[in-house]
Amino acid sequence: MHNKKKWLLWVLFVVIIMALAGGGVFYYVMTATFADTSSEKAAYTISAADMLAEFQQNDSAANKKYSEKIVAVSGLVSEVEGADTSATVKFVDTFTGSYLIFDFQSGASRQAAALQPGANVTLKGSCSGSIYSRLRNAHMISFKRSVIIQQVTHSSF
Amino acid sequence: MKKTILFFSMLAVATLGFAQVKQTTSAVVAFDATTPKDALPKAENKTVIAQLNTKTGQIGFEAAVKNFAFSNPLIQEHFNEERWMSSDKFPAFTFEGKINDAQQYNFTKNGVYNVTVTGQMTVKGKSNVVTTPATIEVKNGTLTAAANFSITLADYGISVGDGSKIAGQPKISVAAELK
Repeated sequence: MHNKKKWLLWVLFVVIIMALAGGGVFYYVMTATFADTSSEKAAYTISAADMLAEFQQNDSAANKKYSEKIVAVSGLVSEVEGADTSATVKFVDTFTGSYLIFDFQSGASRQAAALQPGANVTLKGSCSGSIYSRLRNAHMISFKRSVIIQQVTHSSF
Repeated sequence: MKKTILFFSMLAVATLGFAQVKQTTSAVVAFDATTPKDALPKAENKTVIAQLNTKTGQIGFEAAVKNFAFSNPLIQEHFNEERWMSSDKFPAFTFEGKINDAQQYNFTKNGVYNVTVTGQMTVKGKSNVVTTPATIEVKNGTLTAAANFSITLADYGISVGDGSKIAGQPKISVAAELK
């Protein structure tokens, strides 16, 4: 009788520990947020022109390679569109009209909105892959949670 | 010859100034499928393509499903899975429609226009007719469009179970500055 009571207490103890651990994991997963992209290591570093060419050569292979990966992309800014709290920056292939477009993580939008067309920058963001736009007859490759990691400024003497 | 070139140059400039197709690649589409039990299923996409023909009233939107940004990594992953949006197979949400009775609006004139838009919304490869009121504010050639409406996920073959954690009729908001 005494042994049975002891055994039941052990079972109860294990169940409580498992419930607490499960609850902890659930809480951690459900309250998790994305890490600051600035501190994320880029899986690929590439120029905007090369990335656009890669998507144009083999769209499905490029989508597999880059989707949901952190990618650092450098190039000359083609266009900046800014709203009150957001900004997007584009690198456009003027020949095909296809483009890379970056949306910025909170706190980075103001800096992005201040960029000028022609600025030489490196942006880092989470690549969402491409879609073909029937409205624009071009490929759009989009990025989310982006940051500016480098801006080359030219000094004149 | 010089006069002819000048004439066509001026004509081209004038045509561009009053271009009847207004567009942006940075429209914002947000959806909110939160419930009292779950505040996580909501996201925003700020790289949506939008076009409006001010003469015919034709309107179109295209959004990359994977560029909807969630705050929670797990919910974002679930959203793109086969069971939900299957974004590898169906990478875009699209809307193709028209402003009802577009002829009665003069979008070359500054003002606020309350319109109704009807069109085909395609999600996960399934299309349904959506009709929504929208406002279009015209200011010096720039059109600022906004609309709020709901869709029924079941119409697009998406099941949300008992709906306690994901709203079966998420709210959609659209904002676009078309130039």
